[in-house]
Order: sequence, then structure tokens, then C-alpha cells
Amino acid sequence: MKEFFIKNFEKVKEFAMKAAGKILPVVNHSLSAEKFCKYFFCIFAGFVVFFTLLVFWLDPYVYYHKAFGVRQVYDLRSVAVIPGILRHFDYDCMLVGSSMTQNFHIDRINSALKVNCIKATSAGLTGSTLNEYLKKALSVKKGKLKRVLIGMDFFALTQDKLQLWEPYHYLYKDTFFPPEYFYSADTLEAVWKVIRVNIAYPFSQKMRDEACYNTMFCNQRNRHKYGRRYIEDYVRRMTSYPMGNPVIFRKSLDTYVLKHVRENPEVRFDLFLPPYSVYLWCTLDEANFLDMFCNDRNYLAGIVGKYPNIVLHDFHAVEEISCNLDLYKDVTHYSPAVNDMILEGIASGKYVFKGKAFTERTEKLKKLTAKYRPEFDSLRVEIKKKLAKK
Amino acid sequence: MLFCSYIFIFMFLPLSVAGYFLLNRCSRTAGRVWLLAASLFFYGYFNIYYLFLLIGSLVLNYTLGHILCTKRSKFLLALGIAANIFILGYCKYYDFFVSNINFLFGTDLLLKNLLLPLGISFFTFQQISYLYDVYDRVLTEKYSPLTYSLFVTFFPQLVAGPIVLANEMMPQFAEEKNLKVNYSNLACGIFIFSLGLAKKMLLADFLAPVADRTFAMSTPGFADSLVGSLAYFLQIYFDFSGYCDMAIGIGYMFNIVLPVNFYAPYRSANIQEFWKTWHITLGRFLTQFVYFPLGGSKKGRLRTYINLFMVFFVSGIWHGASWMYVIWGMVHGIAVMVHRFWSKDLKKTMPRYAGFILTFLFLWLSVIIFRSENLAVAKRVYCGFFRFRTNDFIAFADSFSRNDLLLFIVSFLIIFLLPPANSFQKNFKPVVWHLAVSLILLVCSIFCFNKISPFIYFNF
Repeated sequence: MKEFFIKNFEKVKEFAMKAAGKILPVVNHSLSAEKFCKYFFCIFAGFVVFFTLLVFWLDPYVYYHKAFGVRQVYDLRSVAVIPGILRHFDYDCMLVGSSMTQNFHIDRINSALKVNCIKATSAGLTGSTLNEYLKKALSVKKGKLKRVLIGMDFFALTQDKLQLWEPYHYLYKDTFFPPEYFYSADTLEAVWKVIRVNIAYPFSQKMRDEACYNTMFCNQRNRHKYGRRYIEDYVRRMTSYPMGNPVIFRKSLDTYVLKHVRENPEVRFDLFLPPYSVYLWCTLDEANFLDMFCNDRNYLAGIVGKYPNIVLHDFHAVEEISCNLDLYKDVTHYSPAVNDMILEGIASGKYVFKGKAFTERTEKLKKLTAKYRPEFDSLRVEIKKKLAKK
Repeated sequence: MLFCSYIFIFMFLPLSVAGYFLLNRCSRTAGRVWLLAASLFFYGYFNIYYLFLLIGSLVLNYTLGHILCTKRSKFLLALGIAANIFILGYCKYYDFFVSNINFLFGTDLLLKNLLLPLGISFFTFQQISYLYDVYDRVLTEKYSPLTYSLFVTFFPQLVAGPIVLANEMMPQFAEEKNLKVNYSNLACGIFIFSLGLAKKMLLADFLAPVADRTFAMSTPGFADSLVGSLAYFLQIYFDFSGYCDMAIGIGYMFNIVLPVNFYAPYRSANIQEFWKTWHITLGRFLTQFVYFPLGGSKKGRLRTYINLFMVFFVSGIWHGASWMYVIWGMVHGIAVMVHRFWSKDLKKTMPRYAGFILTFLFLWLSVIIFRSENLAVAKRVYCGFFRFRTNDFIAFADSFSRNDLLLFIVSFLIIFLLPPANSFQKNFKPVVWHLAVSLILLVCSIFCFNKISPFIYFNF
């Protein structure tokens, strides 16, 4: 063994010395200053031209054109690729929302609602990002965009600190040549992904999923697990609460949603309140936020009632969804199976309530909360003891 | 505009260099006017209003200098210096002064929230040095307004130094041989510029979030304080020395030699050596215009110590309108005094390695004061060194990645093992690896432009 190691070590050492003997004279070869400058400018210019052409051709974020000669990859940062998709793809309907809306399949939306839909969904979406998506689509597809579906995730509209889109601000303007797009590590990463996906496409289901138009931005490929035990486990470990702020919520609603509703009276806006689990209401109740949340609900219903081109679908207090804990992985995120129920509900208008009917549903929500609270509290015993000790 | 921006690398720099040398072929003045216009454009790009202040300051100082050339008057010199200090003081320290008055006397004087003009500390000091050199007849030639303007506004050093002296710069702008392309200087400039850019983009900007995390924490643990303060210690060096290297590199492209501002300062074995290798031009300025006028070491031992302390007190104030900078300056003043007492009065020495460790520890721990917005933040970080909690270590291990560790290792290797960037200036003979390194570092740095943070010394 020792001899084997020594014998091979000597071989490697000999190889390294030979390689150094050949490489060192090359790297230490002197250049005249003029040649240095000429080589530098030529090679640097070559790099610039190469990267420019490569990015322009592959255009991972669809800034200039749809995929040309390669398959479009959708499994990139959604906030980066969505403005391009909204600009270049054909659609007459748009689904916008946070992680609550990521798992809708485009073909199912199209068949349920008889539309040609595009998705603009981003995990962690906030009001400002929602605004950017709506602004882009409504300006680029003026006259063509007939319907907008918005997943009204309350917690997205009460967060205004994290602006997802801002690092990609250059993709939201219409500048002819944004250098940040062509010469950034992020774009290089996206270009590399496009190349990888296109090469491995015939051999890998994962790569085919990443280039699948129908399931763009879906996070179900992360193989999340849904079921009572997962949501219960989540509740047992939960140490913070989803935050709400009525002032920010109302301001966001007006600035980021209703503004577009007013400016586009010919467009139908379907706002749907996603079916959070009953354990979310219990969480809000524990944090003493439930009343504030319910007031925001009622406020929303009251305000949108004034707009003829808004239809509000209330999936909040749908008992067969919210109380079926096998459909959840945590207190808010439901399984893809629920998407079809939502689409069916939007298509039929079954969950459209106005005026007193809506406020009655808010009361129903509170009753459901009270009913499930003891079960919820039993899961919270240990963690509350730990938090109290701290 | 920043050096590390697309518009600077792809448009401004190539156009300004090419335009300068092309126009110099037609007319000596045309090229220099081009350079002046480029410098003013560069400065005005940040904020057009800054330009008026800069031009006003230029006109005032050139006029006073012109008068001092013919009439050597101490009164005029004092007036000029006072006017410059007043402008600097008003723009930089008015709100600081007023807020302290309000705090001490319970008054409610309004703050003006003045926007600090970029580089005001640097170009003010430069012009003070000019007036003094003219008065002292160090500068005997009457330079044209164009040459003077170039001396002050030359864009590589305009916003964050090095602080150049009139007698080292103005002759260079007037020299004929500097008007033609010098490929040696161009090659050297490209190489040093690439090194400086890489220091900023590939090191300082990646260290910044590690430092920011610690200083934003309410109760940092031991590991957070240790790593966060070290990260800032490294960040500030790479950020500032990187900027200066870029400035020197660009200067070389124009055949202008800017003074070296850093020379491996973290390898110093004592605090005096550190201040001879860190922000060298500021130290030079303060020595010449604060230490010597106060009497230097010629007025007895006690007075020497006071003068030393005053230099660092002024240095602290110069860095910014915050008591933290003043405290930092005073701490360094005390350290210099202690060193002088130990080495000159007690005539003791210590082994170099011991001096190095002591100096390193002092510099590292004192930089916490420099970074902190207020005493409470500094206290939190210092107290973190004594906080050993398992949860903190676990949280730290989650946030500190392998890339962060690699970053620290590379940073330390560069600081302690590699030659400083400006050591390549003398007798630069380009070889293939210089070319390869320049290209690789430049391309990698450009690809990181999207993630830039502002230069730390822009705040001063």
C-alpha cells in the first residue's frame, strides 16, 4: 500500500513538474506594452460581444423575444421572467398572485374559464410587485386582456418592505439595451440553466418540467407533502405569526389593485380570497389579530362592491376545504387538488357574496375558529411553554 | 457615476481616455479641456448641484492663489484657509453642530438636512494645500486656470482621494510628454485598475453583508461579533484601497502618477507603521498642516504628545459628522501616544511578531467604533464577544456559509501574502499572466456590478 502510494505520488509529482515546466514559461512570457494593450482590448471586446450575442440569442428572461432555436425555460426567478412573458406571450387572461396561486395549471384554467390564460405568480409577492405585473400586462395587452384573476393573499398586501421586483428593475423598464441584463452573474446563471435544460431535455423529466409552459412557476415539483400530520407538525413548531396591518392593507389595495380596476373598466377583475386552513384563523385568534383580519375582509367586500368590473369570490370560509386539514402542508398553503375546486367556483360564481351575505360568512369564519380552537390549542401547549421560558 | 458601473467601464472611461489622447494630437489645450469636461461631467453625474459648489470653490481658490503669487500675504492665506474650512464645515458639520447644541441646551434649532457634496473633504484639503504651497513659494510657477482646474477635478481622485498636492500634480498636467499615449503606463494602469476593481467587487462587496448582519443584530453572540467585526475590518481595507488602486490605475492611463495611499497596512508591527501605510495622503496632509504648524516634536515632550493627539482628533472629525468618528480618532491618538512613549521615551522594543499581533488586535477592535452608528451599537458588538450561547452558535453556523469561509481565507491570503497592488507600479513589465489576471478579474467584477454597494469613503 505504501509502495503503491509512493509510486503514484512520484508519477503525479513528475507530471506536475513537467506541466509547470511547460506552463510557467508561457505565463511568464513577456509582452511589449503595446501588445499587452492590443491583446487586452481585443480579448475584452471579444468577451463583450460573445456575452452580448449569447444573452440576446438565449434571452432567458424573454426580454427581447420568445425562445428562438431553444426551448423556453420557465423555472427561473419568476420576478425576472414574468415581465418578459407578459410582454411577448399571447393571452387574454392573467392569473396574478403569491405562493397561494403558484400551482394552478394553465390548461385547467383555460378549460374551466374558457380563456387563454398566462400566469404571473411569485412566492413572496407583495403589493408593489403585484402592481408591476398588472401595470405591465394592462399596458402591453391594452384591448386584448379581458380578464384578470387575482389571488387576494392578505399577508402579501400587508407587506411593503420586501420589494421582490426591485433587484430586476432593469427588466421592468423598456430600455433598448439594459447592460445589467447582459453582464450580470444572475443572467449568466439563467443562461447556463437554459443550456442545461435544453441539453438534458430528452433524458430528464425534471428538465422537461422546467420547460413546461402549463406548469410554469409551480412549486409542487418541490414535492411538498400535504396532510393532517404535516399541518399539525407545523402548528406545533410555529413561533411567529403572520402579520397584518390594516393601514398598509387598505393603502395597498387602493394603490396596487383598485387603481388598475379604475383605469381599465373594460377588464373583468376576479378577486378570489384563497382558502386558508381553519388553523390559520386559529393562529390569528391566538395572536389577537382575528378581529382585525375580519374587519379587513369586510372592508374589502364593501369597497369592491362599488366597482362593476370586480367580482369577489370568497373561498375563506368554505368548510369542505378549510376544515379538511389533509389538504394543507401548513396553515395557509393548500394542495394543488384545491385549485380545481377554486376554478370551478370561479367559473360558476358559487362563492360570490355581497352585502349581508358576505358579513354572515365572516361570522361563520369566526364560529369555525371557535370550534377548532381547542384542537389547535392542544397542539400549541409545548411550544407556548418554550416561548414563555424565553 | 461609480467606477464600478457599466456606464463608466463601457463608455465614460474609454471615451475620456481616447478623446484625451486624440485631441492632444490636434491641440494641447483641446485634450486638457476634454479631460476637464469629462471630470466635471463625472462629478455632476452624481448630482448637478454639486457642480456649482465645486466650480465656486475652484474659482475662489484659484483667484486667491493668483493673488498670493504676486502678493505674499499671511492674511490672504488665512482668509483662504478659513473660507475653505467654512464651506466644508457648513456642508458637512452644520447639522451635527446644531443637533449637539439642541441636545446640550435643550433648544429646538432647525436642522437643514444638507446633502453632503461628494468628495468635499478631499477637494477642500487639496485646495488648502495649493494655497499653502503658493504662499510658501513651493509652487513658483503661475499655472493656468485649466491646469489648476485639472489638478482639483481630475476625476480618478476627485471624490475619494488620494489627497494630492499641487506641487506633485500640476507639473504633470503641464508636461508635454504626458500628452502622448504611453503604452507602458496604459498597460500598468489597466492591470492596477483591474486589481482595484476586483478588491471592491469580489471582496469588499461580498464581505459587506457579513458585517452588516452583525451590526444590525440586537444581541450578537461571540461568533457573530468575531466574524462580523473581522468582515468589516477586511471590507473597509478592500473597499478603500480598491478605490485608490482604481484611481491610480486610471491616472496611469492618462500618464498621471497619483500618490500611493495604501501599502500593506495590516502587516504593520506598530501603530506608527500602520499610519504610514494606511491612507498615506491623509496622514501626509495632517502632518504638514496640523502637526507641524502646532510645533511638531519641537516644543517639548508634553506638547509633542498633545500635537499627536490633535492630529488624530482632527482625523476623526474629518471622517464624518459623528461622535463615533471622533472617538475612533481619539482612540488612535492615544494608541500613537502610547507607542511613542514606549518606543521613544522608555526606549523599549518588542519582537515584530508580538507587535504585529498587538497592532492587528487593536486595529480590528477599534474598527468596531468606526463602523457603529452610535455607542449603543458598538457596545452590543463588544458585549457579543462575551456572549457564549449555544443557540447563537447554531444560528451563526446556519448563516455562515462555505463561501463566506472561503472569502475570509482568500482575504487573509491577499492581505498577508500577496504583494500590494501598487507594488507593480515601479518598472511594470507586462507578461502573459498580467494580461490573463486583468481580463479575468475585470470580467468577473463586471458580472458582479448588479450587486454593488456604495464606496465607504464616499461618505467622507
